Amino acid sequence: MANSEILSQEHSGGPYYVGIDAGSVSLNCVVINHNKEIVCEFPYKRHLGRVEESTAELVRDLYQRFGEQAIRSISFTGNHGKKLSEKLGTFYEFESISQVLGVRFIMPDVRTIIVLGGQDTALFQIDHAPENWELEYFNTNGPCASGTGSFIDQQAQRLATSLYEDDQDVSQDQIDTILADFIELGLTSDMPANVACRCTVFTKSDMIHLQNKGEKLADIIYGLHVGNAMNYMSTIVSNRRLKEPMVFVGGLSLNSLQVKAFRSYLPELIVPPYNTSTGALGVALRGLELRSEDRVDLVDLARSNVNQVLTVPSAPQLTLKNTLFQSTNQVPNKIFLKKTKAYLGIDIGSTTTKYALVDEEGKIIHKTYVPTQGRPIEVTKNLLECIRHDLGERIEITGTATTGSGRNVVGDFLNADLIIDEITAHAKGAVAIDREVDSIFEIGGQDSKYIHIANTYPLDFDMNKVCAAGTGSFLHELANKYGINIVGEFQEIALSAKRPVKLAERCTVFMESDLVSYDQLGLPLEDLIGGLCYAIVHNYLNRVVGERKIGQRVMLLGGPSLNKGVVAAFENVLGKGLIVPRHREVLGAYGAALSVQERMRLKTIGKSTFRGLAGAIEDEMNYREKTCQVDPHCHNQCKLKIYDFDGRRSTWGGECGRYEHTRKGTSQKENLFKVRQKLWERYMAGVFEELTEEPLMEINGRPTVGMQRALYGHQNAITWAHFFDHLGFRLVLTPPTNTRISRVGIESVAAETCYPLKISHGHIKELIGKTTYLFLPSMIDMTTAEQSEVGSYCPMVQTNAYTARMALGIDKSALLSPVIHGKYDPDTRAMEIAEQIGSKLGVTRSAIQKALYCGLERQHEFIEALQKIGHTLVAEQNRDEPLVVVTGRPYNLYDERLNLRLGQNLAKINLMALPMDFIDVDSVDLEDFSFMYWGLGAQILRTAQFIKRHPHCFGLHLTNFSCGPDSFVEHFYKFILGEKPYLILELDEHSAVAGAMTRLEAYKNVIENTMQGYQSSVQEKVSVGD
Amino acid sequence: MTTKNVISFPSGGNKSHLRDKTLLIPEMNRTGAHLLAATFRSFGVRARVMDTYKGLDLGKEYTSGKECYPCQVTMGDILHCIEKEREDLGDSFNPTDYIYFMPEAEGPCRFGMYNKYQRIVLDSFPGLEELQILSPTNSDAYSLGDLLAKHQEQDFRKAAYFSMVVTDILDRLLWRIRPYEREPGMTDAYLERSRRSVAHTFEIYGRRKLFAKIMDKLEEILEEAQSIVDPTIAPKPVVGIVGEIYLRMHDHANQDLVRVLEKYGAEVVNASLCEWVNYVSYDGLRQAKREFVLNLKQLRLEPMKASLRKMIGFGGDLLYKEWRQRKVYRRVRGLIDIPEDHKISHLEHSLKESDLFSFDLRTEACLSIASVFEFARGGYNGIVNVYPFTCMPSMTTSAVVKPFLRTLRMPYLDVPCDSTIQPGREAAIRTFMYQAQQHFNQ
Repeated sequence: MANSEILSQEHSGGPYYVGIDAGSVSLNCVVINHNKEIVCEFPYKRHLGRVEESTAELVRDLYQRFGEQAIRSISFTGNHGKKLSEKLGTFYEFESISQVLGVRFIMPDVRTIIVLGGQDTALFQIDHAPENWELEYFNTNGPCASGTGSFIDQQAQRLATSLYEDDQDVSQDQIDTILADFIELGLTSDMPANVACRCTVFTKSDMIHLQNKGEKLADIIYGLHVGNAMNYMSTIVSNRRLKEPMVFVGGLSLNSLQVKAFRSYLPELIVPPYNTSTGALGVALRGLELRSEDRVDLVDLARSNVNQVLTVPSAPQLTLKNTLFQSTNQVPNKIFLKKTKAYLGIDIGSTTTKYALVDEEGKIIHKTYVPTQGRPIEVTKNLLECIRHDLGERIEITGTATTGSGRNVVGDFLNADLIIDEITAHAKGAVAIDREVDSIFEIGGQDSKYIHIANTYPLDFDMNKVCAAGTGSFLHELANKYGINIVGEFQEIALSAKRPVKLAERCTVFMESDLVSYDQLGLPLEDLIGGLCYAIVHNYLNRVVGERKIGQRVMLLGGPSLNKGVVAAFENVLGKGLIVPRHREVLGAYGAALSVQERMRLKTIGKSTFRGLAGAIEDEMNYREKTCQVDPHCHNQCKLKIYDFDGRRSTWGGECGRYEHTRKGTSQKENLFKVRQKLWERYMAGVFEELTEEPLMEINGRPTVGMQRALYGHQNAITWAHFFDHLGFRLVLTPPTNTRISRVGIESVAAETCYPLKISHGHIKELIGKTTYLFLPSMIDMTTAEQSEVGSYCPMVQTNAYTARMALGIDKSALLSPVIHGKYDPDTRAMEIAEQIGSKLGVTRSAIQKALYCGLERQHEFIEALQKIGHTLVAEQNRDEPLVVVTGRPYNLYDERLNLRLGQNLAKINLMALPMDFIDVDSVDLEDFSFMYWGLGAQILRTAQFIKRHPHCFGLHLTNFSCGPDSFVEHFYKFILGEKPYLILELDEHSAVAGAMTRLEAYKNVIENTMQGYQSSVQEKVSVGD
Repeated sequence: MTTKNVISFPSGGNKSHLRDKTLLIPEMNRTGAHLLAATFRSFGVRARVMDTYKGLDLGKEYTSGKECYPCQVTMGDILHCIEKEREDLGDSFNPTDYIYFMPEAEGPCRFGMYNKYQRIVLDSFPGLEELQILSPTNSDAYSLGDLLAKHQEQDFRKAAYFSMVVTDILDRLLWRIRPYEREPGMTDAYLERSRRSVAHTFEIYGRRKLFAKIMDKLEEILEEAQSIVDPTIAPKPVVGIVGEIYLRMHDHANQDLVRVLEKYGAEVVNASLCEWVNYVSYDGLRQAKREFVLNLKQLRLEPMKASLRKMIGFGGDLLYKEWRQRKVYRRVRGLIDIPEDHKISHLEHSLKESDLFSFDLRTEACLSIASVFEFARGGYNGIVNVYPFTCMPSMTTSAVVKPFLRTLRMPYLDVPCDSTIQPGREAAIRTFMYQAQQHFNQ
């Protein structure tokens, strides 16, 4: 602390009032005198978890500098301040209030305070009445967005391996240096990559995908900061108007890249003096105001916490009884007497890339794994160099396969013989090791998987939804944070825990928050780490496995499987031992190698197309970057990387999956989503206009009526287009959701809702002031198959008109906002509509009645036309070929932003997929689920019954994160399908095609295996009959 | 979890053979659950309140975590209760000896799905498919099947409603006096004592509807309240709580929200239990009226008759409830100054006046938004909206009232809850109370 800065040499001799902000990351301190003059500000200092030691050091320094007697009080604020103040019996104030008091002292006329600290973010708005100021509004980060400051640190540390060419110390002590280099590199970018930041777990996986796509590191770093600012603007500021002067304080205000990112939203943002000490200043001022005499006894501070008895929920001690760990994981050093044929499998994962080389007997003869570093091509080249170096001329690679999230780019580069998804690859590898295995648990760096195997084939699988993402890399990050070596030391600490604490298990962000809370309570480290092992296990079992079957022989894979603490927790929870196999770290690569070997053997692949070791290592792979401009209406601005693989152009990086080309020789199925769209356009022809930038108040003498292409807009726009056409108006629909609409929606929504609702806000905002009328009905219910059904929409859809009106401040004069019961018969519905908007539009009830009949008829014709196509398809489909039936809410299914071009992607992998609209399920009995009071829920469940009854039909349900009704509908959907495999895709603004594609490809594989099972059982029956 | 054992959903449909079984009641509101159980007992039903929150781990295990939190908590409550019974009774444990009480609704919020999903989970345990769920629903006039003799049902409903009014009174009493108690802990001890003695009176007098006797007891309790209050403590800022009913009532699930608010200087008024119960009747009446008018305009006679019957049913029910509630409050307010519930029609009128929302859209959002408007008008100093994480009606409330309260400069706080401890929560409540104090000072 020798470098503390005395700011005012002229200060009187005391008494002094000290404020210490003991935050989650740093310790900040300010000294003021009784005249409220700032005497001293200590520089921002990380405490690296050693809060008490750092505080003691600070207090000693203060006493030395100012004299113990001259210091009247030491008050605390900040996350760790509470515990300190309780221990020392001194004054404490929450940092929110301290920050406001501190900033107001420095800048009395401040109106807006933006705080981004280690783990907390906040917004404060100050109002100034003539005499008094008032804290008009505050908002802090909810549990889903916590940790922004620490998160940037984590990312800097994580990217440090990519940042530095050579080995660099990336420990916590070096974080300031790493961060400085990280920021410096980010500042060189002027093209931030698109990084979604709703949840920090997403951010991380987004960045990994970007790295895999080959985005420039500088652009990713800048993108992360812009994403962080955007997340703040959408979740914390929401649609509030910020007044000036506005200031930015807290630890992240030292980060010039973060300041730059914020200024793109708020050009007038000021970083004031004392920007990291305003909390400390505020609490010092409170101490002075209260004239508190809170002296700190250093002896008290040194007093140990050991005697404190804390009662917190805990889990049983971790013991490892039934799982065998292999003593060696090495490949035996084999001497090759003659040139040996070998098959190469490469698994390009988000965090690591690994390969396995197998001989003709399927035995591993060589393996290695290295960090991917976001550079899949370069890393693959290095790995191949490693093979050449170790085995050289002694082997001949006669087949190659790639798997993992980078499988396409690397597969294309290598001219691989086979590109397979990682689920299929892992299952193949696992079965080769243990033919009896029936369940595979894999906890990877980013993604986790569950695979159910029957008769050596994967029959069912699931990957983590958002809340179980990143658990593997999270363990690493946390170990780094606590200065624990993840190899060895971590498990020793975990296994020594007497009372492992029960931590939240919903996602890693929650685990970390809980861990921080318990750490603040002073719980022993081993109990925290032991608890963490349990939390990882519960998170995996609850979020990934869920209701799926856990078999008799469970194989555990992924980084955490090396950790005896985590394995012990699995044992304790499941009550049985697990298989932790050899070569688990390269199992996917091993499986890929075995798959290509098998196909070569079965001659489904001819001569290997592999470009050869020498070629792959030595050929220069040039690429150029450009922004995609294929679709003039698309606002995604995707940055493309166009590789030149031997004069063959290979484009990567399109958000929409447009460039994820299919390999030569594979056929494509028809995209029925597109068929639906074309048909829809036919029924809409001439009765609607698409909104442009310019207002459309009148078209051909007809006043216009604006309607959102979101929510019910996807379901019954045809009805309303014809309805208004009949009445002499023209319907204007917003364009399909684009990046801008999505962003505007996210930023303007007033509460944390589901993605479709946010998008709806974006669409509605587009319409404001651009049409004569704005049609924003409250859709209560819908037509049902049975009269006894309720047919409700979900409350968020029902109340959309009111929430949007409040959030967007819509003027009521142009608003048509009737309450509509779709379940009423048309006459009653017409009466209902006429009562509410008839006079405003100047039309009679009978005109409305006729118009409604006309609209409903056209809608009915459209549905009939769809179902006719569907009926023919189902009838004519070869029973040996699968048909995927896609369920979901229309606003998820038919919005390409929300469904990530699902139709196109399914067609591309040669799967016939039928959206649920194509099937007439009205006559299907809901059986046990007749209570289903949500109309769309009932349609989904009816379709599930249909899928269940048709052996060659398979279910894919598309949903979005935080969909209320689907949290129950999914249970019932799974229940109906029973043993039949299904896929639930949960998507939202975290729109990465890569993750969705892996799931789709693996699901395709599961379907194929199931179909093969059908066929073999038929054959068996036939042979029995013979 | 395997779900092979599900054949049908007995809940809702089959309500026979309920006699002589133990009725297991989940504890939402501590007072309310015990008074309801006592009322059931006075009618000869072996009713018991289940321990709550002790089976949360089981609840988490058998839910995906995406359903609303009360579904997870109650799932845990019933599984824990059964597990304990099995342990205690050993071989003599028989799942058919129990009935699990879980009311239902017809949407559009998720509450009505709890019993269906919980049925699937119970069925996945061998033997528990025999454990019946009793789900009174408005579709069959809240029938309790053969749990009670037909002639007793009406009396039971009256006594049960009375127990809810008394629950509200005791809750309001707690919130009114605890911030001003002479010594910490006095109110809680007094209330726990009172809860037991009132439950006892319900057990004795409930069946005979000797409500006057229960009122005497209540009066006796209220008189004692004076001795707990320290008159020298200055009035505090008043904070109104709205939101989802389970989270408003369940102290464990809301992580002791009321107490934390009080710790930082608030006096709290939480929306009542009866408000929701009255609303259900009011909404039924309102819908029946609307159907009647639409049918009348089209001269459809048969449907008109059906709506008229519904109007009479719901209307009578509502009239009785409002009359009973008013009568109790009139007597109680003579002794202690606690706020009275607004009539639901008044709330609808306020909502119309505020132009914020409409009763046509139903759900708790109607009540919450109308109450926020009333609180703002009634000089409250801050409003808290507490709800299960991702609760749809409460998110609607939040989206509607936030922009509205901003214009009034009224402090407002969203408190979404699940099983995690949120590190920033106490700071948020403290900051909110700082605002409420500033509002109060002005």
